[in-house]
Amino acid sequence: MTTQLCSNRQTLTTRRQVLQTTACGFGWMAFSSMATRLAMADAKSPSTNHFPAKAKRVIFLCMRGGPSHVDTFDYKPALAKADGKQAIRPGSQWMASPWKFAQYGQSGRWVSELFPEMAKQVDKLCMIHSMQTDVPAHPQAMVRLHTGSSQFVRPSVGAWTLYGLGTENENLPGFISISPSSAFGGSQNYGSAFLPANFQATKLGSENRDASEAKIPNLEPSVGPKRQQMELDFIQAMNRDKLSREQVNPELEGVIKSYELAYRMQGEMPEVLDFSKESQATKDLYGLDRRTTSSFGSKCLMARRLVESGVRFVEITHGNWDHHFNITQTLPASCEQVDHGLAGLLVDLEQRGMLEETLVVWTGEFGRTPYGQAKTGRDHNNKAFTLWMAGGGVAAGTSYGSSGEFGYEATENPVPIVDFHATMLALLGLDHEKLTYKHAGRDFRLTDVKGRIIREVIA
Amino acid sequence: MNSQSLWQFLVGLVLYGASSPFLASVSAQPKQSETFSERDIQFFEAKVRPLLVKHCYACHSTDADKAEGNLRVDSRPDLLKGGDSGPAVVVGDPRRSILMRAVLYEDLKLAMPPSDAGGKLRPDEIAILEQWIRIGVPDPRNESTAKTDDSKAAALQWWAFQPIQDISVPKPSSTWAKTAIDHFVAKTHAEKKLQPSPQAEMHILIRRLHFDLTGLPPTPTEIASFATDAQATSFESAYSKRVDNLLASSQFGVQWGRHWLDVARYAESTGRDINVSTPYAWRYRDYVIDSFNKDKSYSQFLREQVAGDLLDHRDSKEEAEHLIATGLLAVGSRAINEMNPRQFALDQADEQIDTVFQATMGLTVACARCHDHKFDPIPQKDYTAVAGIFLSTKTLFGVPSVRQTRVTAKPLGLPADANLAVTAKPISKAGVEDLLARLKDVQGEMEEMRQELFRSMQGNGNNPSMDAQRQLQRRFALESQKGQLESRIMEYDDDGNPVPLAMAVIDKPATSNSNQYTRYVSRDFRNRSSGFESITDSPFFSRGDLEMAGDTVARGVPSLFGNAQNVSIPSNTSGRLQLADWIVDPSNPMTTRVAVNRVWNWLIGQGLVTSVDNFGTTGSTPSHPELLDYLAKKFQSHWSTKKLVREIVMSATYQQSSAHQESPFRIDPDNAFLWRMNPRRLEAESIRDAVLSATGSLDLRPQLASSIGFSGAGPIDRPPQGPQPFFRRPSSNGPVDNFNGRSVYLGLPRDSQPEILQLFDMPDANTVQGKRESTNVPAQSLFMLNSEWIAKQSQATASRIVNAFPGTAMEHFDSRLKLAYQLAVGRIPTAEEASAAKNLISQMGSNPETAWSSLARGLFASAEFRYLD
Repeated sequence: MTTQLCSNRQTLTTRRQVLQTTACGFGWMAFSSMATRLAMADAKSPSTNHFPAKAKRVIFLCMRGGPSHVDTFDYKPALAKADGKQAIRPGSQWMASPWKFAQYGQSGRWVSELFPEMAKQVDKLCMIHSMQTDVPAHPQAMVRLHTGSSQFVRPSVGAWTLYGLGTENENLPGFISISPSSAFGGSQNYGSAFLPANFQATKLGSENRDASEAKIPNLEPSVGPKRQQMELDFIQAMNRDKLSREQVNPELEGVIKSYELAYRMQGEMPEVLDFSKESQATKDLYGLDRRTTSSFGSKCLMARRLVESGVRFVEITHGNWDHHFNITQTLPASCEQVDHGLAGLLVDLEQRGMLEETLVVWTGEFGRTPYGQAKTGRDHNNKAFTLWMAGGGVAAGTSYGSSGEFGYEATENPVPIVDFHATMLALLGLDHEKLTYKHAGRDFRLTDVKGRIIREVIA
Repeated sequence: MNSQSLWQFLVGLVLYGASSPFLASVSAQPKQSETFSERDIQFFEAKVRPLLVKHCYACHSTDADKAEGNLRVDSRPDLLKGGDSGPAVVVGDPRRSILMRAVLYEDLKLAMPPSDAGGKLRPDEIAILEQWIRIGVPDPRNESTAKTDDSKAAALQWWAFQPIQDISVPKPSSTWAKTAIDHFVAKTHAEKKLQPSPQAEMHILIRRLHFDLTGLPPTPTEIASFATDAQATSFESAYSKRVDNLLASSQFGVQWGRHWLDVARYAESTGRDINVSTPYAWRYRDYVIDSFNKDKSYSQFLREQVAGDLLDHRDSKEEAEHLIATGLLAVGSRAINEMNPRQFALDQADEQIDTVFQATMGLTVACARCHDHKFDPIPQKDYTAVAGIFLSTKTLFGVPSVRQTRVTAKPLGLPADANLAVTAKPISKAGVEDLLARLKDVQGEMEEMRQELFRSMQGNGNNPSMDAQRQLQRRFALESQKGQLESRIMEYDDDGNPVPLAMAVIDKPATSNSNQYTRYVSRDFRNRSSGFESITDSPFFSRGDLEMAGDTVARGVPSLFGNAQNVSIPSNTSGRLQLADWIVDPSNPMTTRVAVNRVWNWLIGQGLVTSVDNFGTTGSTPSHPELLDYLAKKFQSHWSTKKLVREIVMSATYQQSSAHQESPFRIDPDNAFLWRMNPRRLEAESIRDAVLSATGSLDLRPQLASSIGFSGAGPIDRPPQGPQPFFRRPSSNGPVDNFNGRSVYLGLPRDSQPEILQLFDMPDANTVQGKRESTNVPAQSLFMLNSEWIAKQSQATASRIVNAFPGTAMEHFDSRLKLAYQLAVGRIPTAEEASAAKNLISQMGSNPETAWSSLARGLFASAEFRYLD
């Protein structure tokens, strides 16, 4: 009975019989796995890989505001020598990074002293130093990074991923965005646009709010468990009576299913978000023991627990990296908040054997200028920035592209956002030219009419 | 290959005939083939096409008056064919290509472009052409010009572009059929061997009718009075009377106005990146509701929304009404942080074009911004003609400068003697002066800071006196204050009397001295000229690129129906009036078809044409073409929405049961041929209003403005790092924050809609949406089970039920249960339901209100509550 149940009409009778035979109490829980299959079928997802891939899920770490690449992962010795000299932009002076860089790991990649924990993980990373985006303004660049277009409302990369691969756990949403910003494009950055609504992210909390606020609305029962159980029995009995009267009504079956999933989420989600069973060692790994690192660390641990439970795409947004002024104080503070959690996440995923199948992406919406702004900070730079990936079949311990002598502009192998999107989908086994959705009379793609897979970053 | 660009690699492939399985999908085809890799096409689009457009099209294209030397370079076949001097290019051989000899100025007779048209190309430009020919002349412009005309002619055969036929009603052939509509439907039933469904049960039909016409459930009294009336007279007579009552009710306008607001992508903030509230949008909302209540002629309704400012008016009240109507063109989303004023002007015009054509005619015209429409017969030239109309229009969207705003606009002041309601309370003359003084202070401090910042940026060694970050925050705070003050000051005349304001459009002046387009220079410059400051024709923007402006195209309407050339636009007006008249002209077959199909969709749950907002060639074909034309023709004769609604709800088609039936289901599973009524989910607003109706607290009166109207202009959410929020996201689902009015009056910022509306698929108001989604997601279930709002409403409903029949939890069980079911689902419970309810109540303890609130929640959460059978 639980096999071969797809949404063709022939099976409706069977489903109806199932519903009738599970008429009382919590009997409806019994056919949850069937409901799952139906939910997946209803989602109209292609759910097929276009080519073999290692990555099965994504953790996308968005450093909103534009981290300075020349002070973190993109070492520019020439910039140090040119400090104070006339820079490429009239009236501006090159500003050396105030922080020391050193080589780490077997790969010998350069990392600044602002990321002491991440420096130890450098052999896991594949860095792209030649990222580019088209507009040096936060909102446009954020939306471009997330949807491929800043001009039109398009589905987000997470929605496309879920659409392409489907969900792995029927008890949880397939795409979760932890603490997204409500500005800079807001829900567009995790929306489904014209894709069916079930591909949009479930949002947990909002940017700059503590991890403790990252939760699903209305998840907590408003009444005691016994009372809720009786209320649910009543609701589902009423729904099933209606269904048995009407015999065939897919919408009604949808409502019944959604109560099941809601109930299961209510049961499973708090457990997924509950760290009490994590060992102290794990918690320390994510820096939960320190005030500065615990909020972002918690979100990273949350992300690991979510993907571990079968969530396909988890994004964490962390702000604010918009360091125009006082960069010597503001940038170290931002780095300190995330360094521990990032490194902890990579180590933890590896320890659990999950890193191979989990693509971790770290990026801002753009980078910052190698010349100074008001002598104390750096301005937006869309011409070059650094993005790194780990796990999920990327070429670990390598780097790709160059931002030139000073880090001002991608000079070698520039990577526009669309190429990154194409590559990311390829890592997930999805061909960006085949992952299409018909809308308003034409087939849409994440990469529109562009996109090139960067083979060099794939292991 | 890492260091070598893919480009060079591809060139290598061509030159050396190398092949690689890895690159099979993107490899260059043999030179003569007309299919090219995406990379090659990209190269053409990015480098070559702009060159050709800029330097050659003026004399060598279809758009040129006369193709010089009989050479056209606007398609590949034309280039290969060449002109009087022979083929312009030899594929793969630049040296033998005349084009190269011309641009290299090798032969002075051939030298191109001529000196009076810009002269010799730069070396890098010549290199591009050289490379292009060498790699095989990749060029997607494969259709020669004649072919383009062919495809346009073919597209014009599409059913929706054909004139509306005069259709006579088929002969009655079934006893089931009652009205003309039914005769059309019955004819198809017979053809498809379908058996229609019998009339729905009375309680189902009455609930359906009430929700469809007013968005509200019938109250227990209304249910009872219908039954009484039906008994005293007949069902038919009682039903007909009820239809008339509901059409006359002011709640009709609320429900049908809301439908149109979906089409008009109505919301109360700018959306997009910098989401700022628009506190005068509600006037347009009220205009729409009033128009449906008045049963305004649909043709006049459209004319007012497209060109209200240009229409004659009897008095200032009507003048105000017409001006407010143009809010259609102003309430859309917009990127107010756009740095380039020209880009903003073009994007705004594009959004307006897209809205007007999709809302009125179901045509997606916006594709033609960058290229001839691939599917519909709308060349980019037609788009450009229409763009001129909107570029000649000033959009007063009423958003002052707030943080990160780079484009601002005033609202429109409405005639003071029109007796319009306002949100602002009168203040004294001194009060106005005080506001002005405060604005001056803020502006003064901002100017000081600007100069300070400027001095410090000059790098004269002085550090800014204030900590840079604090300075930035202060600047943001000041900008916000400035915006708030500006928007408050605008609300008063000099004496402190409130001035009614609206979002609207008006024509730009006929001439202007600031038509010089200035590109983005510095972020401190606001409202710089877009180059479109007066009534003007639009240049043809190659590939929609604003930096590639070509010749202008005279303002006009699309050349779709052969009557376009009859439309002439006077040089001193934008042309919106001519456009509006063309839209509602009886010879335009799309407007009425789209209109009646939407009404059909809102009542039947599925349009005769299922793609309700797309009647172009990528849309669907009608299930009942004759019925559609019959209704459209009739609608053209009266333009009355109420008459159309009445005609549909009086039909046996509408009154059918929605029950599943095995045999017709096998023939027509999608119910395209209407063998039953479609079961439908209630709209979000109706779900909220029905819950409040059950509690007895729903306030049916029209509400002044909205929470946003009262808040004024400001950012919707607290920007990170910024000042305190100006407007707090309305979590307002209802009485939680003491708002009991109908949902249409809730504050509706984009991206922050009230939770219950968002959960139940309210459109995001970014595009025209004549048909709503109907999703089933767990978040809805969680809302019903666990939200504070539903808990409160359940409690309130329980109190109402218990107060009606006071006593302990189990006393008056049957009476209470009957009332609960009537309030929630408009019927009395079955015996099984009564026993399930008894089981629930009996286990809930002694507090009657607690026990009955569980039952109320159960009813609100049930599928039946949110579905219409």
